[in-house]
Formats: sequence, C-alpha cells, structure tokens
Amino acid sequence: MARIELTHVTKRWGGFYAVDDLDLLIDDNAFVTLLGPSGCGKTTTLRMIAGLETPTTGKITIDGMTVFDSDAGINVPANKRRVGFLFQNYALWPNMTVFQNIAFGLGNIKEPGLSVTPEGEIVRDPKAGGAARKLTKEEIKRIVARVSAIVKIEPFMDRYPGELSGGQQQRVAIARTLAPGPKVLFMDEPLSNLDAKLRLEMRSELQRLHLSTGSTFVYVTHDQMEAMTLATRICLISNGVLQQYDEPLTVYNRPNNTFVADFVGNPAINFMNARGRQQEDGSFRLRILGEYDAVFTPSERILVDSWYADAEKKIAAFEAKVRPEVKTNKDVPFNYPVAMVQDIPDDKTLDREDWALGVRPEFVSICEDGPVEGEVFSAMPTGMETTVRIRVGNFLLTSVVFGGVTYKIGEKIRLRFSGNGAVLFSRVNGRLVSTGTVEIRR
Amino acid sequence: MNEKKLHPAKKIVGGLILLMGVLIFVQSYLGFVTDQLTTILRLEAEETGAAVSVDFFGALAASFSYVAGIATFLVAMLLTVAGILVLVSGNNSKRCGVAAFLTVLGAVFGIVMIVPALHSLAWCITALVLAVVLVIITFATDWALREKTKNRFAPARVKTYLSKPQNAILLILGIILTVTTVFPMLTILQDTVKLHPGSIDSTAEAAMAARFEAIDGTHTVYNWTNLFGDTITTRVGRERVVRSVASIYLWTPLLNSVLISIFACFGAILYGGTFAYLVTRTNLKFKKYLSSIFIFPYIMPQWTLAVIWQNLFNSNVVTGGNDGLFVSLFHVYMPKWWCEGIFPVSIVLALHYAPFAYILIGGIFRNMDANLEEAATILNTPRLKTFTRVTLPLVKPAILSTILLVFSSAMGSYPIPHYLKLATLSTQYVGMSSNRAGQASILAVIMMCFGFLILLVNQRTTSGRKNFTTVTGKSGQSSTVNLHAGRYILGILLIITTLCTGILPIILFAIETFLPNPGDYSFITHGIAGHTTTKWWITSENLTENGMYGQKGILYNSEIWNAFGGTLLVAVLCALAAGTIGTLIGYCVSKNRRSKWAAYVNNMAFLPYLMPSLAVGAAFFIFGSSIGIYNTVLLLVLAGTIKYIPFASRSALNSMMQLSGEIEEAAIIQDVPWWKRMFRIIIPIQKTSIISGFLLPFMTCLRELTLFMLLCGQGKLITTMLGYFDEMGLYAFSSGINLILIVLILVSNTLVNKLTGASIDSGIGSDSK
Repeated sequence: MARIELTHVTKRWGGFYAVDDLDLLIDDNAFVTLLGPSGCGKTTTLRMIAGLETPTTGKITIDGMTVFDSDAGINVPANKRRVGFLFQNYALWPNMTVFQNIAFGLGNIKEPGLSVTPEGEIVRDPKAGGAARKLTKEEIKRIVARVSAIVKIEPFMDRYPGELSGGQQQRVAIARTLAPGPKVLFMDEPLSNLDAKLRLEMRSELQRLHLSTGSTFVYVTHDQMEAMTLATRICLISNGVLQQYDEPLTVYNRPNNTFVADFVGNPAINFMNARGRQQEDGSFRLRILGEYDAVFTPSERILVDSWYADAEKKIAAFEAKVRPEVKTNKDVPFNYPVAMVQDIPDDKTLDREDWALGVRPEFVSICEDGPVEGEVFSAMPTGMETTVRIRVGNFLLTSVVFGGVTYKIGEKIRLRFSGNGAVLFSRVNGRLVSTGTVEIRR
Repeated sequence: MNEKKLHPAKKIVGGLILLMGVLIFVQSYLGFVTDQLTTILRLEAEETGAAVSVDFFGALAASFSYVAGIATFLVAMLLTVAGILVLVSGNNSKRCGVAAFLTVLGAVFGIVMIVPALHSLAWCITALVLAVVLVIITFATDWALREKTKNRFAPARVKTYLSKPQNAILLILGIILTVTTVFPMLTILQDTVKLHPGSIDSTAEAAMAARFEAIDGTHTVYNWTNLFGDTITTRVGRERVVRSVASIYLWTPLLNSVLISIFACFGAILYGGTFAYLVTRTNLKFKKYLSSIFIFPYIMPQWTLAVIWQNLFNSNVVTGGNDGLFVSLFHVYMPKWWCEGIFPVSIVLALHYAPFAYILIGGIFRNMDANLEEAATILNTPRLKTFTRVTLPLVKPAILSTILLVFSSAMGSYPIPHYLKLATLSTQYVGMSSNRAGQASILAVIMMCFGFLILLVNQRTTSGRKNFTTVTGKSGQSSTVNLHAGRYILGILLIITTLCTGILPIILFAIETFLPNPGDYSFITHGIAGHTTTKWWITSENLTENGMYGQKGILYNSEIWNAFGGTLLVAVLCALAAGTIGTLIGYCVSKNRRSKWAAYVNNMAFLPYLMPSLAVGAAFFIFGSSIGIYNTVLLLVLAGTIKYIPFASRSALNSMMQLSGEIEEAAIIQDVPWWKRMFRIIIPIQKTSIISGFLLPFMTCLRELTLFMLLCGQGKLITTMLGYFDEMGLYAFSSGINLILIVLILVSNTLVNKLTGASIDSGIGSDSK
C-alpha cells in the first residue's frame, strides 16, 4: 500500500536551508515520527510530503506515484495526493457543525468505482468501472456515523466547534481526517494543545487508530516521549539535517551523535568529558570527573585510527553534499551540556584523545561499595521513581532510582556505573565511537 | 559578489565631485541673484520713476531660470561623470542604475533649460529613454553575471505558481492596479508639458514658435519655466510689486495647505486623543452616548461644519453676503480671521478628523494590557510619569498613523477651504484649471509627491512598529482614573461640544430650508412663526416670482432626485468593485506574506489612500478626458474604486491575518475547490469585516465631493449638485440636500451596524494595520 519515499529533498529560503538533502523511506503501515527541536524543519518536511509546501529540489513519491520531482517538473497539488492531515490547532471550521465539518470533504470525492459498505467504509475499486460519481447523502451519513463512532463523538454532531472542549475538538478533527479514507495520515503536533492527562489518553488512542486503520502515519512532534512511545521508527532532525532514522530503542541505546543522545531520554543522559587513549586490548583508559581513572570496554571491536579515517570520509562526503559555504544556517557541532555546580568555561583545543562519555541515569546506580564518592545535590521523588542529582567534585550526575526512596540533601553516598549502556563519542566531531561498559579504577 | 560596499577611494572621488558641483552651483547662483535683483530694480525705476519693491520670491524667480539652468547643467554634468565612474567600477548594480538614471536625466534637463530652442518634449523623452536604457543595461549585466538559479522560469514552476488561485489573482490584480493607478499619474505628469488650447501656455508657445523653429507644437516646458522662473508685476496703489508666478500660484497655497494640515493634525490628535483617553481610561459619565455621537462629524460630509461655520458667524459687514445666526440673534460681529482663512479651516478640519484620532488611539487604549501600567504603579511611579513614559509611548504608533492619515486627507480637502475662502493647493488647482491648466497639473503632481512621502513614512513606521506588541488583548480590566466631580463637569462639557458638532448641523440645515430668504432668521428673533416657508420643499411647478429661479421644490425636483440616483448608483458600484477587489487583495496578500510581489500589490492598492483626493481626482480627470470617458459613470466608478480599495483591503487583510492558514489547508487536503473554500469557509467566518469592507466605500462615496467634482458635470451627482445651488445662491436647496444626505448616511450606518455588526468606525480602526 502506501510507501513514502523522499530523495534528496531540499527546501530553502534564500540561503536558509529549512530541510537539507533529506533522504527518507517510510514503509507501508509504518508509524514514523519526525522529531526535533522547534524550528528544525520537521513540520516543513511534513508539509512538503503533504503538498502544502513546495520543495526547492528533490523527489517525493507516495504509494508508487511521484508527487513531486523538481527535475521532471512534476508537482501534484495537495488536494490530489489523497492524504489526510491533522493540524496542530485542529483547524475546524467554526462556521460549521461537527457533522458538517466531517461531511464537507466527502462531498468533493468524485471517482469511478466508488462504493460504501453498510458499515460506512469507502471502497475504491477503479477496476470496477462505471462513470465517476459522487457520494450520495445517505452514503455520507454512513461514513460520518462510522468515523464519529471510532472517536466517540456521536453525541455532539449538531454542536459547533466553539461549544466543544479541546479534547472533543481534537476527536472531531481526527474524524474529519479519517472520513475520506486516506492512505496516509499526517499529523502535525496533534497533541500539543491538550493538557497532560488528556495527552496520555489520546496517545494510546492514536496507537489503536494506527492499528485499526492500517494506514501509514507520519507524525511530527518535539516531544521525545511521544516519539518514543508511539513510533515504529523515529526520524530525528536538527537544523534541517537528518541525524538518525531508526527504531525508538536503537535511537535511545545507540545514538549516532551527542545531539541525539542528549535530545532523547528524560532525564537527559549524563555527559562527562574524558581524556585518554585506546589500549592494546581495545579498551580505553580514560580520566573522568576530574580525578577518576576509568576503563571503557567497547561492546564491539573498533580501532580508533580506522574509525577516525572513516568518520572523516563521512564528514567530507556530507559537506560536499550540503555545500556549507552557501548555507546561512551553519551546522555547528552540537555543544553537549556537562552538568556542573559552578560552570567552568571549557575552551581547550580538542585532539583525538578527547572523548565524551555518556551514561544514562538508569545506569548510574547508588550502592554502598561504589567506587565514586558523592553527595546528594537534589532529590525528586515521584513515588514510582526518584530522580537524584549527585555532586561529584564540581560535577553533577543524574541518577534514577526506582521505588520511593527518600534522600536527604547533602547526604554522602557512593555510586558506580552499571550495565553496558555507556556510550563513547569523539569530542572532535561528536560522533558515536561505540557503546560499552565503564568501570572505575581506584 | 559578496562585497557590496563601495571602495573608499571611489567614495572620496564621488564626494569631491559632488561637493564641487554644489559649490559651483551656490556660488554662481548667489552671484546672479544679486545681479538680477539690481537690474530689475534699476530698470523698473528708470521706466516709471516710482518706488519699486521686489519680494524674496520675485528675486529668486527672476534669477532662477537663467542661473539655475547653467548651474543645473554643470552639476548634472559633474554628476554624470561621477555616476558613470561608479557605474563602470560598480559592484552594487542597483545604486549604479539609479545614479546613472538621475545623472543622465539631470544632464539633459540641464541642457534643455539653458537652450530655449530645445524647449520640447522630444528632448525630455530622449533623456528619459536614455536613462531607462542605461538602467536596464546595468541590471541585465548584473543579472547575467549572477549565479543563475536552476530553472527559475521553468514551465513547471510557473504552472505550480499559477495553480494557486491567490497567486493568479495577485498577478492579475497587480497588473490591473498598476495600470489604473500609475497610468493616471503618468498622464498628469505628461499633462504638465502639454499645450492646452486657450491656456497661457499656448499663447507663449506661439510667440516662441515665431522666434525658433524647432518646436513641435503639441508640447512645451513653458508651464514649468513660467511657474518657477517668471515674475508678475502688479500695481498696489502707486507702488509696483514684482512677485514670482510661483509665489502667487504655488508657494502661498502650498504654505497654506501645509499649515492647515499641520494644525488639523494637532487639533485632531489633541481633541480626539484626549477624548479617547477620557472615554477609555477614566470614569467619565455618559460614555456610551458620547462615544457614539463623537464620530458624527466624520460620518457627515466634510463641508457640513464649514457651511455651519459660515451660517453661524458670517455677517454682511465683515464677510459680505448674508448675515449668520450669531449676527441675527446676538448682534455679535466676529472678526474676519475668525470667519475666513487658516483659523476656521484648521478648526473645521480638526473637528472633522478628530474621530480618526479617537478611533485609532482609543483602540489601543482599550486593548492595552493593563498590567503594563500596573507594573509601573507597583514600582511606585508617579501617575504623570507612568502616563508619559509608559502610556504615551504605547499609543505613539496610533498617533503617528493618525498624523499621516489626517495630513494627507487635509491636504487634499477641497470643500472646507473653498467655503471658508482659503487659497490652498486644492482650491488653487480648481482656480487655475481653465487658463493655467498645465500649471494646475504641476500642483497636482506636487500634491502627489506629498502622498508618496507620506506612504514612505507610513511604511517606515509600520515596519518598525511590529517590534513591540502593545496589544495583548488579555487585559482583565484596565484601571480607570477617578475624575471625582470632574466626571460630570467634563461629561456635560463634552455633551455640549458634541451636540454642536454632531446634532446642531442637522438642526441648522433643517431650519435653513424653512427660511423665506437666506439669513432671514426673523422667525426666531421676532418669534413670528409665519416667517417660515415650505416653498423650498413642496413647490411643484415652475415659478419665478418666489425667488426660486424656476426650480421646483426639493420633493418635486427631478434634477435633484436624478442626481441622488446617480450618487447611489456610483456608490453601489464603487462599493461592489472596491469591496470585492479589496477582499481578494486582503485574502491573497495574507496567503503570500513573504512574497515581494504581494507586498507590492498591497502597497499599490494602498497608495491612492494616502494620495490627496484632489490629486487623484485630477489624475483621473486628465486620464478620463484623454480616453474620452469624461462625465461618465464609468470614470466615476473607476476613480472611486481605486481610491477606496484600501478601505476594503485593510479590513480584509487584518481579518485574514487572524485566520490561521490551517483552516484553509484543512479544506485543500480534502480537495475542496477554491470557490467553495471561499464561499463556504473563509467568507462566512470573516463576514463582519468583509461587509464593512463593502460598507465603507459605499458610505464614503455618498458624501464624496473632492474626488468626483472634476470628473463629471454638476448635475450628475448630488454632491456636485450642491456646488451648483451654492453658485445660484439657492442656499435652502443645498441645505436641504445636505440634510437628506446626512440623514441617509446616518440611517444606513445604523441599519448596517444593527444588522451585521459591521460599522464605519471598525473600518477606520483597521487603517492602523
């Protein structure tokens, strides 16, 4: 069914690249989230696929049909792409009732081989032949009845949007989008206008909806939690450039670079500046947190020199592609945050012995015999878990402890880095070197 | 490519050349002024033996044509050299193009000025063509050199662009508006160098033709050289006074125009602004009544208050003509400066435009976030300081746009200075239009220049204005100042004032129509009810003996009712055309916020609004005459539409901007056709502001005189008919017409307001962007 393919899609205004050379393959029946900080180009990408925005160059195909190709001069307008779009502010027409809102678009469908099942499902069978026809009033009513039952808004059919609550408006908007039976459904931050509780509820409903409709969903959000929980694949974009396109857990566990590592995960990953070199056995001897010697054992075999050569090749290829000299929005390496009690500016020149070590909070475990000594800086229990910030020298580490443990601020504790979820990045280019385990040597 | 700055050496060279040019100009000019002055004085003294005085402009003018010619030539030549230098070395094509354009133009005009035989349009056109070609070459080279964007005008791109209705509409409207706005302006420019049969330029040109041969017989620069270069000698008693043509026909009226415009701005802002403050920020009494009656003077025809002023204060002794009410009732003879000239004109204009200030400033006061002032109060800021440092800066944008609007409107106002006998650019234009037609066109061009200037200022201020958002619209309740007893005193004072400006005119007009003779108020002074008459209303046959010059009474006068019909027809057509086009522009521009073309179309539509009405009227008069549609409804509707599109486009743009683009995109995605989107979604949502976009042109057309009076015969429209009756001395008729007009406007305003919620004041409010 509906597979979406973007090849070398670029959108720019003058020298400002909103989306820069994006290649993306969205599988049929996928639930892909476009994730990124605000202004990174994710909404522009979505609108380009939907046809509401015209790319500067590139090619887009939906379901085997080329809808945009700058070289061939193809540009299928949004209304002919047969897609559904759920807007951030719902965009319900305030002058129409709920019923009219849902039925309005149905009145425009005119194609051959159209039929509607008694349950209100549109069946398109162009091969069935016959002249192009419109839907009858009766059919429209059936369809509206079906979609309004899906989102449970039957009691409000005669109300105006202004008389509905935010959550109800959202449901109406979903029903309106579903009504014409689109093969692809685009959603632009659909939950951002709802309150926290409602958001959680709608999230699960969207998941069910994805399952029951079997359509391809493309979903824009800046909330990494939404992306993690809903998506089958996450497409993380920053400054118009694709950072990583992977399954949620891969993005979480094997972030391509420091930006991805920092953006995904809440509380955020702990970054530590590290200095050291690779040993004969493949492990890294690193000095972290000012005074501790640590050994980082990669989970796969890598050689630093060949890794650097490889990375440089990739960077050169990337720069040749995006032509940084004409771009006004420059791609500066992401400046990952190192939490400190007192910020000390770090402006040393970096070389190949500088690393950034990332440890997720769940791998910072507090235990009696931990090699690292620290002091509780702040503790935030939620009942289910407690987020503790621990001061180690001038540095701060975040740890998540499950269960309702209470800590006293200022309390002395010891900790260790457990599990094999640590990630090592090069500070020179911010790229992932490897995942692995960290062990502190006294 | 990247280096946009001029090389410092080039800067210095250019600067030196410019400085030299200016110095030569000043030096030679001063020398010739004194020289010429003494020559004139000597000649005059020899000839008559009488005392001779030369005024400043006279001296200026006497020397102007000759000296300025040489100097202009020199400066122009030097500038040409500088321009070409910059051009050759140029790295900023735009600046070079403009430099070349100006210098070539300057050089050729310089030659034209000092060589009389070349006084012909052919030379001016040559200059223009030369300059334009140079500019085109510059830009073309630059464009060719620049890195080309791939497939910029590829058919697919053009097709995609035009497949969006808003783009196609913008393209078409842009072209139409450019033609209909720019063309009349160009024709008026051309008119200044045209020969007008029966006008002074044709006589002069005939004399010139006898001396030189190279004259084409249809065009002349005499209108310019005469207006700016010649003198007129008049006799005042025994003394002969040499005055320049310009001083009589241009500088004095211009000065008056500027003065009344400035005074009107001050007055309107002071009165309207204070009123806005009192109504919105204090606990004044009778607010509701006051705020609705305060805008009456703006809704009523412009000349209403001027006519009322005359009817009140004129006296046979001071101003001639009939005695006014003051003289009749109280025997108070107001001095001449009170009755005619700058003072009353400014007052009347200020009263007429004060509602502008009230609506614009009051709008901000009303929506201003009260927290801003409260924050100052919390910090223990004195009240006066809060007002001057917090409140005033916030309303500054509204004050600025009031100034711009009032200035341009006052400058183009004809009826007020006409009734109150002040020579301004607009009255002077009308006075000169028969025997100095070409020079009248020059006045119109000057008025237009003011319009452009105001547009420029407006653009600067509106773009800077976006920097701070004053209006959050979330203010809970704004704190009101307690006036204590003053709330009653001020309230009653304001009631009396607004009664005088809003209700009194209607009563006075009504009374006028029952007086047996103009100015005969004997029924009041003597209390005799019999001294009134209904003849002006109900005479149904041609009688000459009752002082009505064979006119039938208003109710039976078919001419009056025909004119009324004409006015209604024009108003309806204008409203339909302007409303539709304006709404479309508002829609399309809001859809293409970033596009330069959309901004251009928007400005093109807005331009006539800031043009003085009379200048627009003059432009369309010449334009219409040249294509043979003078005195037709078509021309009236065309002029009215162009002038009033801004009313509709502003209010439409404002409301469309508030409409999220998603609302329409939601329909696009579902393949809803464009017209259905418009009629089922966009228009229903924004119907109030769209209706007021149709309503405002209609109302304004009903009472428009300045714009239309040049475009048709007197019997065509009810407003021009007024002038006819005034000339005939049938003041009762004009009062009757005024009365009907005012009542008609007030009734339809209230009616539409009640029915749709749209109102004339919300429309003005949208002018502020």
